[in-house]
Amino acid sequence: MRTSLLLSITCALLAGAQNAPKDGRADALLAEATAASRGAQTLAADLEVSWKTPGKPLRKSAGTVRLMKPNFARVVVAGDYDDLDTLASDGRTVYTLHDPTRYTKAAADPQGKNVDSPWWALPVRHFFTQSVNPFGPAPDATAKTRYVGEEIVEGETFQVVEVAGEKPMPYVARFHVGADRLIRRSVVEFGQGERGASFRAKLTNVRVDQRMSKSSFRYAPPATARPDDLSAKLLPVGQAAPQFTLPTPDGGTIALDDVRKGRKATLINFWYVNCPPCRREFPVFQSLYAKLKDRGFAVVAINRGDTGATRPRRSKVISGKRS
Amino acid sequence: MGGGDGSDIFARYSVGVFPATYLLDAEGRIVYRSAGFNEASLRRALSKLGMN
Repeated sequence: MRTSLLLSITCALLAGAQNAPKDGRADALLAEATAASRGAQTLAADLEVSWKTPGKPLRKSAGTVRLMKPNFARVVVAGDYDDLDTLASDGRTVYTLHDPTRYTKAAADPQGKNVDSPWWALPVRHFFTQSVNPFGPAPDATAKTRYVGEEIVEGETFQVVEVAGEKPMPYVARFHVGADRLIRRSVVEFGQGERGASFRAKLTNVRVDQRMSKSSFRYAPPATARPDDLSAKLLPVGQAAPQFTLPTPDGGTIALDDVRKGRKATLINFWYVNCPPCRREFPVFQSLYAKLKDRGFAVVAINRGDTGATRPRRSKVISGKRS
Repeated sequence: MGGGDGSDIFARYSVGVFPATYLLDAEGRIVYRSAGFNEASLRRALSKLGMN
């Protein structure tokens, strides 16, 4: 296992953020899709997700979704995806039943922002606040859009739009927009060829604005399931953080003490490339760092480089440096 | 610890699942930890350090 320190993402954010040229037709279609999603009050559909990562076979899960504005949801899937059995939001709490033995719960975002598993089920997430940025609700202003054309899939005609972005790592996403103007299929790709990873999601049997009641979203985890407190296994609050000196990808080293010096708060994040929630964190860390760095905030991102083949080519190297 | 390649850092920080995040105060003490991504609780922890 090789470890490297990857920079606080900040470099990527602060350097050369400029709006990309846009494709008018693509943008018009995406605007219509957004209007259709925001305008729909309820959505029921069958969901299929699949994903392919380097060295692993294609994996699939399938199930059903029911969604109601502003933040009610029930997503049930079965198959290869072992992190999700049921996602249920009753409007106040989002329960994520990972498997029949464990669940986590969190306060439901008022606009459904945390109805977000699997992360790449963009047609589901788009119903609430999600933009076409795979990394979160906020649009990626630097992404390039392109109208690909019409495509007939399984007897249905779709208009296809491609969105290519670099933040926080290079990706290409394609969206199939149906005649109803809803995003019905999505593909998110990282890298290419043998090293590439792709994540697909599709909705079929879509029914919009069927009548649904709030009470139909009531949920309690099964009696077999226990709250899953993974954080309990981490080092306890109050303990001094262990010292470390680690190599940086540019050939230097970095020590925790040096990063911390003069800082009021230091965030240490452990991540790896093919970890979807790790990716979703980046934009948040980026914006926190941009906002707080002048007040003594540092970010150290420690990458577990156990699958070098999937490491993005353009990973940038660490914060910590005070330059 | 020495330079090394740091491959034991995950063990020393008890990181078994990803992502894992720690927040340290000015003295280097752990004031917050999280396995998985929890934006709201991270922001609360930052607020307690005067970062909001």
